[in-house]
Amino acid sequence: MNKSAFEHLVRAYSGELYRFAYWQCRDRGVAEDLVQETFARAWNARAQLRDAAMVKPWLYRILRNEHARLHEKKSLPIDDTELSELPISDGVDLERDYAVREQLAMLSPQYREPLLMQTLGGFSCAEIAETMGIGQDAVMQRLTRARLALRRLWLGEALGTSKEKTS
Amino acid sequence: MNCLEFRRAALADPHHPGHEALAHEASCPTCAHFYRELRMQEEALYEAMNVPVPDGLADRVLLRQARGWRERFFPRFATPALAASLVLAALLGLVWQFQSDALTPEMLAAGILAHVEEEPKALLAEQRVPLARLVTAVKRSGGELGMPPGETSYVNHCPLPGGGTGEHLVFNTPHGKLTLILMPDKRIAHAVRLDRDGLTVSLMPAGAGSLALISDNREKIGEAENWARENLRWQGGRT
Repeated sequence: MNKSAFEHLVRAYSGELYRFAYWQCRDRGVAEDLVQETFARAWNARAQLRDAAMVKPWLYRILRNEHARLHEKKSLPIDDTELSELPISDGVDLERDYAVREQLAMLSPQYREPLLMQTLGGFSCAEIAETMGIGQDAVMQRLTRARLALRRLWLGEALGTSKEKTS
Repeated sequence: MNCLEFRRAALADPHHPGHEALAHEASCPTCAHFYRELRMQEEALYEAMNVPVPDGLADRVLLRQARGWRERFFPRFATPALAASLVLAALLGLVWQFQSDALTPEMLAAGILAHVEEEPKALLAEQRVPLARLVTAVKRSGGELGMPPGETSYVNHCPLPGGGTGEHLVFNTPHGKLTLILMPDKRIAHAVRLDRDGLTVSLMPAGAGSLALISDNREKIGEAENWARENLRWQGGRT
């Protein structure tokens, strides 16, 4: 990978990686640091990238590792982050966005992470499984549970009390 | 495929549930309704995940990388180039000083106003920012905070006119929104006030850099300046 290809990579993926990083740590400054570090490591390890088509999962994997390293070092709170710290977007319906973000933040990381990779990154279940180092069935189960939990919140139902009618 | 299997498939991957699932959805009104709702939920979820990306992020990544490239190249010539590097660093320091001084306080104030106008979401935001985050933002700029002028509704790390970054803060005060921009690397020769488009900006020296107070209440900007003098402390003195 030469400098020009690397620049294309940065321009193509920095925004998406920033959003993924933001939802990992829920801090804008830390998210930007994570993106910076991800690309620095990607450049240093560029020789390890054998297949150019795998560049996106490769970058996500680096970012996940960086986040884990940071978490190890600084013991960043994952589950106890204040919901009030969530920023609001410049979307049209700010209140709705805010509510959904609160709901998303309520998911535990093991459920939120595959959901982010699928919704933001457009990864398939197989790709998520490979990046996270777990089985595809486990990924599908986590995605299903995450969406069910969000759906219950979305519909204003109490967690654990909803029963869907099925044939 | 029955309804339960359809829902499992749809919840695991709403955009690609598979042919069988889509065939079931076409023949089952209940599942079709469920699927419509699920896709609406997905749309809202995507919008919510889509947090704003800071301006100039890719440029900053590339800038840091470019520095890294230079650092990796130079060590091979470290010994003979050391003296030259020191001279170059001194020259760059002088250039930087010149450039920093070249951005007059009036130009910086106009740039700050443009930044505030270009970022309307900052004034609309109601983040209910915890005090700890506010204190951290001020500390990152090398300052210490006494009492805030009101509840903090927005905090962001922003690119600044002429390069560099600073802290963009917005407070709800009894006189309306007050924006504070901390610019630890923007040294100014003197304080300046500027009125434009219904906004007043007051640019003041602060520590080794400067700060800007922006309000749509021209009459109360003096009060905001007093607050800054009394409540923001920098190495080497107050604002």
